[in-house]
Amino acid sequence: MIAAGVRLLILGYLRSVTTDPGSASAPLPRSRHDFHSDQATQAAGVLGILLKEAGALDCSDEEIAATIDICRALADLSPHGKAVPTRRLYEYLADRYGQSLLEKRLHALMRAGSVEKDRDVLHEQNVRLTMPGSISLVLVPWITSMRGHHALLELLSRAEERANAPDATADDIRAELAEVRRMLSTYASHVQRIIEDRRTAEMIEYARDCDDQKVSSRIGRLNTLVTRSFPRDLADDLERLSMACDWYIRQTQELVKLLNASAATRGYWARADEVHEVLRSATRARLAAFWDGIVFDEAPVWISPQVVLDAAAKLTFRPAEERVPEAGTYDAASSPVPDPLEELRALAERLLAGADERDLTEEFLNRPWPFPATILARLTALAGLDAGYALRYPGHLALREEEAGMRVATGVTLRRVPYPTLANSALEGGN
Amino acid sequence: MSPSAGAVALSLARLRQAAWLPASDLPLAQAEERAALAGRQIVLVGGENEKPALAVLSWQGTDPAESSRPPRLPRRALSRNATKTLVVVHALLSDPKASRAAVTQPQVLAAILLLSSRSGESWAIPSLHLELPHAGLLTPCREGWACGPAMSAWDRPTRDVMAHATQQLRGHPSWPETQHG
Repeated sequence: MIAAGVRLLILGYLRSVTTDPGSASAPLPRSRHDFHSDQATQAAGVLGILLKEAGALDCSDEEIAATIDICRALADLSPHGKAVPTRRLYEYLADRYGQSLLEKRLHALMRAGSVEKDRDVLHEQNVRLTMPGSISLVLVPWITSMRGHHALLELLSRAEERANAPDATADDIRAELAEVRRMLSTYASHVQRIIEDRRTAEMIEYARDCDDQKVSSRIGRLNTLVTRSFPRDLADDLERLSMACDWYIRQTQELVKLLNASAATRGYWARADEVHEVLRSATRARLAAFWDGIVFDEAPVWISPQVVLDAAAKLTFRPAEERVPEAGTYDAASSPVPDPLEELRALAERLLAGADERDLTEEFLNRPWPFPATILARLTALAGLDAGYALRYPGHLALREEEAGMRVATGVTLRRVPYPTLANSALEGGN
Repeated sequence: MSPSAGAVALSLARLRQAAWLPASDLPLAQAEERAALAGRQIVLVGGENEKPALAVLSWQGTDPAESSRPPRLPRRALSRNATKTLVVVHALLSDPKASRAAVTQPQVLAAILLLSSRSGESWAIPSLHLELPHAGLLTPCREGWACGPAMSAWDRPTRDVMAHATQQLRGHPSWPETQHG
């Protein structure tokens, strides 16, 4: 029955479509109604082109349910089409709906032509279901539960059937391709909007429904069928369909990518199917087990064993004992300290090279700076210590020409003198 | 007359929310049966010395750790400072040489000072007055703080780790050996 309803709806919707209208669109009237439920919005969106007014749909979910139940009750109470007294109808539904609600919905059904009076008189109390009302019994549940992706697949199936039909014309196929393209664009644009608005619940719902690979393969199959039947006439239409398909795939992939980026959303998403399955079929005990500890686990404070051990370690922390070195004793054998006097003597002996006297003027003139100054300072100190060496300055200057200028050195002679000196002997004799 | 399934579910929900309730406030047998279906158990504590018996909701087996992966299990872990205070209080309460039924604030602060050579006033006092009683781990009494219902219903792994920690504290050379209550 649902399949028949779908075809009836689709045929009615497409009856006037014969070409792909690319002409300028006329301004469309906006809905005056602020719908109270998603179901009503969905139904109005699907049926809008067929409706003279949307007033009958401007209602809550409960009112929609009451409307459907009125139609069902009339069909059940009068299997042969006889009129049913309204009082009996209200009594039949009294345990589910209030009378004022039932009266309002019955009047709406009568205005829409789904229910009619038995006789056209002022105070007629008997009513019966009409053919549109019977059809709405089939259509409304399907319309209110149909999502965009489902409708898209239905359109693709119908386009394939049309392309396979032996008597299909190019215009017919073009109209079908245009419908699929519009649906793809609308669907993708809607997905883009919910991504931009970060409407998480809708994102999860659409991501669960959409299957870009399936749509892509179905469109590829449709493309093959159409190309086989009309190799040239519909090339442009197929190209436009392909572009719409790319747009659709890009948006759905963006949707999935965004959902996967959020750990919290991913957890919710991954669990959604499980939750729904449990909610549908589980016993009360299973429900308690499912929710317990996941959502409502608030009170018992958890003591982490690791934190306890860390706390004990901090409270009993004792800094490691650092070894203090013992005071050392001087050992000349193990740590000889060089004698500065001996170093100076060694320097003097090295310069004398076994002789008693040596003119160091040439040495100072040729050795690089600061060697001459350092050596002269150390030899002067040695001579001042009366250690058996003396310096003599003959008073001449030595010159040597270099690239950067002229090098000058004072004449210096190092010589041995008797040791200890007279001064030291006199000092010792005085003591 | 046995209570309805709804009343049992409601009492279990209250117990889950509060963590412990007076045992007389809930249909114990049915609530225990229901809790067992969800891997929980109800432990009865107290009931002596004219104190009312309390029903504490705990887990069958080991208290599960937090899980951030599905199925997720968010846990309210005790803060580090409160855990530190709890370890000191538990060590004082379970000290066999002192045999205390309750501890006072000065005792706790003195123990912290002796152990760590630092004052614990900034973190131990809020834990003693707020966090630990709120978690049911301590109960305020006339003498100071006594063992709370949640502490009485600890599972074996928690008892073991706390015993290990308190043993570590008592083995410290600065542990107040002669500090009797």
